[in-house]
Amino acid sequence: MNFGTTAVKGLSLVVGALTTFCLTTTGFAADSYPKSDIKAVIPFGAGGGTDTLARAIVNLAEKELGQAVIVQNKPGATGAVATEFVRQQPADGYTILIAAENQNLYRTTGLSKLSFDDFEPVILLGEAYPVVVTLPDAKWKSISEVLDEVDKNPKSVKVMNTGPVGISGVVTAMLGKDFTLVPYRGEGPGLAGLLGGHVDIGIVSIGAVIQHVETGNLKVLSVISDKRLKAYPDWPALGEERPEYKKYLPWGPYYGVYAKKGTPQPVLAKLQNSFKKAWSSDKYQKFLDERRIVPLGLMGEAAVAYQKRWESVTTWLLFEANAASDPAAFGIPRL
Amino acid sequence: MFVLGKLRKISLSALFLVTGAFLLYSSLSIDMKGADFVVSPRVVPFGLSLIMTMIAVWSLVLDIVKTRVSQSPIDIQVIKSLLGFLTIVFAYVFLIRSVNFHVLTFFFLIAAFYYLGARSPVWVVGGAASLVAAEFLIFQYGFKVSFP
Amino acid sequence: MDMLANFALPFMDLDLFFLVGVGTFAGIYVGAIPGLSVTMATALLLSVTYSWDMLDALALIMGVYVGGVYGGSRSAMLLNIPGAPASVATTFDGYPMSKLGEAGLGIGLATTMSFVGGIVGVFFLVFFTPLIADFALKFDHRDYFLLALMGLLLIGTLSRGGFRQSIFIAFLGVIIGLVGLDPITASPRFTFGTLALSQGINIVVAILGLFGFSEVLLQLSELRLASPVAQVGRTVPERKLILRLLPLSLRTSVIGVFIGALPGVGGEIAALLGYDHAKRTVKNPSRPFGEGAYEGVAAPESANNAAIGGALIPMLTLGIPGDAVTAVIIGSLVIHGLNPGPTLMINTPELFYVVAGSVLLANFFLLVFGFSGIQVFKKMVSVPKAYLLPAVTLLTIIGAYAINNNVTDIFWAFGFGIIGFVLRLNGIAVAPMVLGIILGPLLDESLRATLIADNSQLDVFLLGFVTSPISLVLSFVILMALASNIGVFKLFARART
Repeated sequence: MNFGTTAVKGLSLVVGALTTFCLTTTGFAADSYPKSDIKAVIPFGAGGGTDTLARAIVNLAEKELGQAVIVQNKPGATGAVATEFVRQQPADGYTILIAAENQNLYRTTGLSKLSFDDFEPVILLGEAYPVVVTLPDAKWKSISEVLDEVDKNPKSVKVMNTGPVGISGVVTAMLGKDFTLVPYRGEGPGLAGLLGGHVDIGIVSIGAVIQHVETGNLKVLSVISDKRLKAYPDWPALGEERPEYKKYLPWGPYYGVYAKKGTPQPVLAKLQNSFKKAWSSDKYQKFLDERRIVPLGLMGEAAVAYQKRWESVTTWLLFEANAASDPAAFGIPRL
Repeated sequence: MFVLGKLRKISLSALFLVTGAFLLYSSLSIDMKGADFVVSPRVVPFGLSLIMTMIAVWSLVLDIVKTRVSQSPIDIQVIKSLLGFLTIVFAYVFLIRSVNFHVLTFFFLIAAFYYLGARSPVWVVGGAASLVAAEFLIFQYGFKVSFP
Repeated sequence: MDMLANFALPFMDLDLFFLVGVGTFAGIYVGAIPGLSVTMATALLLSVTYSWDMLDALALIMGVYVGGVYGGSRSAMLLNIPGAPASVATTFDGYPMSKLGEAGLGIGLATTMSFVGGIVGVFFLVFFTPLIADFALKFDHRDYFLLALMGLLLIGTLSRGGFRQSIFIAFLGVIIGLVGLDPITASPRFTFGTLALSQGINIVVAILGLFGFSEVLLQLSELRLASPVAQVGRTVPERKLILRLLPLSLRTSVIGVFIGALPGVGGEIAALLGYDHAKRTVKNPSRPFGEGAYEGVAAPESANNAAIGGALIPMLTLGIPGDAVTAVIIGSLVIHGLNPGPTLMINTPELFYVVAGSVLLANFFLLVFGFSGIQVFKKMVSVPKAYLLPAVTLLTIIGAYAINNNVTDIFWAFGFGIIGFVLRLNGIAVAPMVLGIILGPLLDESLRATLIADNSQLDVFLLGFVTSPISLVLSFVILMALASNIGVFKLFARART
């Protein structure tokens, strides 16, 4: 071995490493945003519903922003870990959060002290309607028959449940009946449990089951809304069959892009413009449509108002079902 | 330096007992959220830590009653070299947030190589530099890991 | 025939052929580096391949998937650090093989047997998809619970330095696996009010500490800083050896396919159960298990690669991911404008066969790349300790950090390293703890979910074990294992004295 060449090689590596590090740590001037990559934190694992929705918009938005948006999944504690992480970053618009509705429920369920009050909505992407599904050969023809059955025999109906404050948790709290909530490790295993007949009904967003409904593996008993959906006029709406639930409806999960509170107005405006353009593109609208997500596109005041209503309806529902603490203690008004 | 083999066994079992008892105690403070005990979040941790505590008590009794007194050597030199290495490693990790990651890693590697007896300056510097370069290329450039 | 043409497409189309090859090669190295996971790599490719043609992207991802699952065995054998949880079982006999100077043969064996597993996986994927999808759906919470119990029986197999201590360590592992928010009620367990603990303890961090950092400390304390074992022998296993291991490999491959197909459990449990199966059925291993038995490398390596074929089945037919990687692949299908679900096979049948063909091709690449790199890799064992140990330490630190970009995880890895060091210094194996961490959440959730579904009624709960056919079979297997393993009780007796 010739030590001379090795030394030269070693030295060149050192120089190389030092130069690259110098290049990567050059600071950014604050005049025009964005100067460097933007990090988009997703509070759930890669491949999930929020993740795919986020990646699709990020890919379109980075063209508008003129900088790469790097997606980072930080799952854990129903998103509380990622939420806390983004809150700890500087409010400069270089770290954004792409989340679902869960943050609204952190305080009353004791998951975290944070809520969407600590964030500025960039844009609300869309909302999903939950549907009640069952196997095609199930004995029930409508949601009313299921509710009557539970009234007669409490605990006799098993509901697939993917988390303490997930869709089925909130909807069963809304229905106020004594269901048996069988836990599953996520939507995939839950769907397998439903198709395998280990539970009686599932309450999930339309997008998750639409193909199984179209191929006849599952049938829809009811859509959790006040009126029938335009796209699926055959599905009875809960509010129409049982008017007593109308006051809670429509209810469903939603998705949004957030920046930390205190982000400078010009930065926020740039983010809003870019994401709005990406959101409005035919490509993204088609994507939302295929996932059966109803586009929202709300920004600013409208987005905040939407969230406030959602937070109020849901936290009070969960409080009445003994699944969360008193929302009044956090200053959440009752609608 | 020599330590009694029996003492070593007993202290390990005692450590197990403390761990088991601590987990048992902690498991009792898990909020059951109104669920039946058998389906509550407490049931599995409680059951397992109870068994763990019992195993530890049993082991401790056996160790005290049955283990023959024997001697097992402890080499003071080994402890010294371990503590020295751990000091370098911990110093590295404690500084990780405050100093540039790549530079720090480079010097950490040089220090660690040297501490473990590597003397050829070419290999020490070259090895450290190529590891930092590999780290940069694979983790930071390739996998977009943002180091502190 | 259309079907066959699609299946052969990755072999014929130059682009696809090349991409599968690149993917496999990259996957092997991603898999071999602890802290980089196939899941991370596929998630990354999701963004990179966004604008690509769908089939190109899939070919690359399948290559990375196959290569990555195999790659984990490299570091498991050479450094005693499993590159991923799926390679934990490979350390049991793989590392002892390296210590005996058979690192080359070990890697050769792992390569051959991974190939066998991969081929079996593709075979089931192509010919038995409906059967296996149906099986996966029939699996209820109770059966997952039995599966977890079956895995825990391995404690007996892995125990060293006293059965009592091993049980203690395994249960400690289970509790470590449960740290964080309970997924059923969101009740915090062992978090002591901190957010850092409420996200749970990452299993890879624990593995990096228990295997990697503790190994560094152990080697330091042995003061054998020079003189690694001299390298002897071949890298390509003899035909006789392969033929002898083939029946075992085929059996554990089938286990791997079925376990892989179950939603929510993946290669790591397949490999553990494969190892368990080998230990139970092979009466005369080449060496005692745990001391470098060839069977102990062949069985888990076949099982975890076969699990790929299994995991793809529910993904392609139902849109349900079989493991973390397939969950990301589903995401990539969605982003490419496809709708994974039961209509995927109806609307785009070609996709299924291209995926199957890519996996098959990736396995052939694996055979080529797996053997080509051995000469370089096996030198890793003979790098002087003064260089190797700091490098492994750095790998532990970066790996632990990279998983969640979190400095706290580095301290966790150190903590586990010290625990592992103390245990191993006292002759107690750390493997049962990792077993506990892997199986803990499954055990806890499936037991409670079963009881919840049975409305906490004990009679209904017990009756379930005999009324469902799958539960009955699994219960029977467990009882048989316990009965045949009176050895467990022998160990009890031995530990007493």
